[in-house]
Amino acid sequence: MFRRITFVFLCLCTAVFSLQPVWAGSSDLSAFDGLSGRLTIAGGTAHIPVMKQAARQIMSHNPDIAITVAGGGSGVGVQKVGAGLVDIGNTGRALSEKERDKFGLKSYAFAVDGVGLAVHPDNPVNNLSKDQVKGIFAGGIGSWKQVGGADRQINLYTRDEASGTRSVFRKKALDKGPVAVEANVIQSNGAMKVAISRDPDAIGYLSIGHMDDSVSGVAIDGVSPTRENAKDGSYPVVRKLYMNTKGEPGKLARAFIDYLQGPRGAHIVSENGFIPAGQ
Amino acid sequence: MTGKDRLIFFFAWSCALVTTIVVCGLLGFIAWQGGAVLGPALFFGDAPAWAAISGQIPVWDGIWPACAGTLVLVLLAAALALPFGLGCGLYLAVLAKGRKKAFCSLCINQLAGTPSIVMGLFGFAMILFLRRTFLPGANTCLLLAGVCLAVLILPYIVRATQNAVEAIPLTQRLIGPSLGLTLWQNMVHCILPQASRGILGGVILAVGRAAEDTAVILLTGVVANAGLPRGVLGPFEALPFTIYYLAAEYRSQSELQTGFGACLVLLILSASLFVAARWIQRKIENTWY
Repeated sequence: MFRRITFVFLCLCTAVFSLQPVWAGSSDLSAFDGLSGRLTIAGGTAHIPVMKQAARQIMSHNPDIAITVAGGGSGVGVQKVGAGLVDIGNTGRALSEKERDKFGLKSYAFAVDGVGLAVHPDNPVNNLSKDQVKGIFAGGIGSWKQVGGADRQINLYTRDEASGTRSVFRKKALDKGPVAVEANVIQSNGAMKVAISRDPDAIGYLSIGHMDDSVSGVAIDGVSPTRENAKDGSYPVVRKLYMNTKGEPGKLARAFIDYLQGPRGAHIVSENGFIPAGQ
Repeated sequence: MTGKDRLIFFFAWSCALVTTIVVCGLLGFIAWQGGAVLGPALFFGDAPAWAAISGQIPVWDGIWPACAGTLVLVLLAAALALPFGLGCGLYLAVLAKGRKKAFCSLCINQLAGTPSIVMGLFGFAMILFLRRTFLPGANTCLLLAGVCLAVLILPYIVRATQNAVEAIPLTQRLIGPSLGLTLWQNMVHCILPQASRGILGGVILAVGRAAEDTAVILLTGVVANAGLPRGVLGPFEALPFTIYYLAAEYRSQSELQTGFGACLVLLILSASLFVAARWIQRKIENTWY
């Protein structure tokens, strides 16, 4: 009996010690001890869930810190941080040379986001060559039959001109090729997912983080749009998500950036469907 | 009825029917989708309700701060736009003549046709200008968003006032002056009370417009998390932005449901403003007639 209790006790100790790294991770938040004031963040809408969750953890840990997160898109992120209206401006793309020089911005990548092709789950097509993808989006291939599917017309879905997802897809999957004018223009990742899941003849592209069972991912040249493939670099259609500051970040901004680039930040990034940039 | 009469009767009748069906269908859909999540959790997330309402603890998953922000924003915009709109409308209806009237009308039309995103950019540019010149600490805030929204809804109030006053028969508009009332007395005791119904109609339209606009506030101070508005110089949350953001970036069905819930709340908010306006209207009629 006594032995058994000792054994259970030892097991418990082992469990506690093996949990230690998780607890040690919470020391990340200790970087915010003694800090106070307001940190303002604006820019890419895709960043908001990550930023909000980080803000929630930090503000729960230290109520003297107030963090506000606004949207507006990548362009607004650059403008606002450049004009000094916010401490951190988020972009879903790398800054252009011009933007960097004009405002003296510094970029900090914290997450990688893949952009994947998707079709309706009932569609048997699950792999396309790059040329086929280009042909489909340019409008040259108009039937699923031409790429091994049913004899039905392909319904194209694309994103609006301002979308960062569109720009990375066009650049890396279509080699800056054209998108047919007949393509239906969709405003967001969420709406894209719904559109594809309701149209058996649809093809479109969306953030890998947004993909779930309601759509079926299509491999390009045999590489599936999964987080694992985006992580190890085999899937090419990826973009980084950045935080940008005007010159060197202040104390609070520095701590925030370090937090998101650290292990706890990586956890938040993964929870929101992105891949931590450090991995 | 001749054949043509019958045609126009049928056309008008079916148009009215289609409009009604569309509106009811839309309301029904939002009520059906949003009604499912309508409850304390939609407003306060996992925070206790009373502490959240009074702002003692921050709300993270609920739309309560956005509701409060929208209400404050709309009231601020309406308060800023009303005096200017009333004055300008009265000027156009009673005082302005000839070229001045035509020019002023043109300006109002131009303003009414300005897309709301332009108003947002205008506010953004204004803050940049202020920062570079005499207010280096200026930043996007509730006041700026209120001012930009006020400019956006100004034409509605101007037109409503002008139309309401011009709709009063000339004989009635002249009763006051003929009895020796001054311009001020005539305005306050004769013209405004008679035009109040039309003006309030315009104000309701304007307030509804202010409550639903996203583009203006997007660039002038709305944020995804700010808690309850703490002053006119701070950031704020608003329902249209919450809806826009949830619709654009939702990842799970429950987030989309929250978006529909927020839509429903925005509709209810607009409807209650409407009811309140009607109530005020009736009050005015009771006192002044």
